[in-house]
Amino acid sequence: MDDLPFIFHDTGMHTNMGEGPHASSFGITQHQTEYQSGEHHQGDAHQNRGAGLPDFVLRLLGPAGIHFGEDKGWLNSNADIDLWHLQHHDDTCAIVSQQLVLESLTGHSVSENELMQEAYERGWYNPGGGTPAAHVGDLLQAHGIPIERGGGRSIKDLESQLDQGNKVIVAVNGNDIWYPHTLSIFDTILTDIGFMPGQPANHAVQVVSIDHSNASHPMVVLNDSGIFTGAGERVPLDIFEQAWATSNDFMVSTEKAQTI
Amino acid sequence: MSQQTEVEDVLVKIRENPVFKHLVPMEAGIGWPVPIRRNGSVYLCIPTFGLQRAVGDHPVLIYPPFATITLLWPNLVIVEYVNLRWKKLWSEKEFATPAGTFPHPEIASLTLAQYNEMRTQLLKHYDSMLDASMDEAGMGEFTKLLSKMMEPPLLPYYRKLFPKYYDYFIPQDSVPN
Repeated sequence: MDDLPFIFHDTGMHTNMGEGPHASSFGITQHQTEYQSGEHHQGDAHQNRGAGLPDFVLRLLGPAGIHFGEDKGWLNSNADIDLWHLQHHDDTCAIVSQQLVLESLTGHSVSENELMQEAYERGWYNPGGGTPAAHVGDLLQAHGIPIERGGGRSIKDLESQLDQGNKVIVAVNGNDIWYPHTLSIFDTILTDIGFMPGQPANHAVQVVSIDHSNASHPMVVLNDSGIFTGAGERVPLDIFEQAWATSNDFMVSTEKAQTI
Repeated sequence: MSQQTEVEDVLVKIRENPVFKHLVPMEAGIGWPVPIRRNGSVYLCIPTFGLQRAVGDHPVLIYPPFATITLLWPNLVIVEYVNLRWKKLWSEKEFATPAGTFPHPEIASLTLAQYNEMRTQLLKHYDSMLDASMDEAGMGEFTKLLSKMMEPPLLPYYRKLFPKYYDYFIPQDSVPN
């Protein structure tokens, strides 16, 4: 080892610490606040989530702030889909996924930027980077919603959570669900690559339901804040499984339906 | 799954490390590692940076490095995690602003397969460097490949993090303005 010819003894890295331009502000940066004026007001969507529904459906939905574990299936899914919005920053997919769950379970609106700031201050979000997997769900816990989090889950596990009225967030490879049949394109033009190997999962989405109405072609229904068509985005189950596997089937689920 | 080179293997396995999972966003990129020798031991320092995948016609955005993780080679014990934001190496605004896009012109015409092959060749040279088997010819090839594959928007940050290393392998006067 001592004879390594091309390895430098000390890179000088630490001698430079502190020489860079110092932060003039802390928290949300100018880059980020540029988007604030365009912030979608979730509360509006939430308050209108029952608009146009028959009275009996509205009764089932209950007053804002109460989530019934029984309102699963299409009803639960549709209400959640109404809450969807496009993420306003490049790296807030996990934050928006938690926002959608939070608003669905509490009935209270909270903005993406507020949650982003809170996550940043608590060390769960890295502006310009995103949210580490181990912190997806921490915002929910901080707002009183217990979660269960981990990898190695199955579709059966996922569906079981949805059947109980719980909310589910998973980590996937975005391109697998956005461009499932365009591998040949990406193999001929170099527009998307993990730089280094082993970097497959790059996106968090909410799973709102699994549609088995066509038994031979089950579809996973997502709230995907990363694309314009992400409200109730329907992804074939096999494609979803492929995209989910890139995160070792990482899943965050709320524990029991919450009444807050 | 075992990778083609030892360094590739490490770069895959590091993502499963609890420290990494707790501190590094899953969508973050791993930059070109830097071997370091100190007190007779060899370490591998891995920079991480923000990376936003291409959506539609939009390019891949890359952000300045926000952390480095240093491993003892070859047992891969993490000896240091440096939060570059905490160290204030660059401004908060800079951290959250794209430094540039990928791919850069030098490699833009490559297919994904060609890129992966070139990356593997470069990482094989890292293996040689780490096991002290690199010769002069290998060093020349390493320098050539690193210069070609290095993302220009990240180079100024790497140069600040590892000045001796990059002054040697990619001298300032070798990079066109």
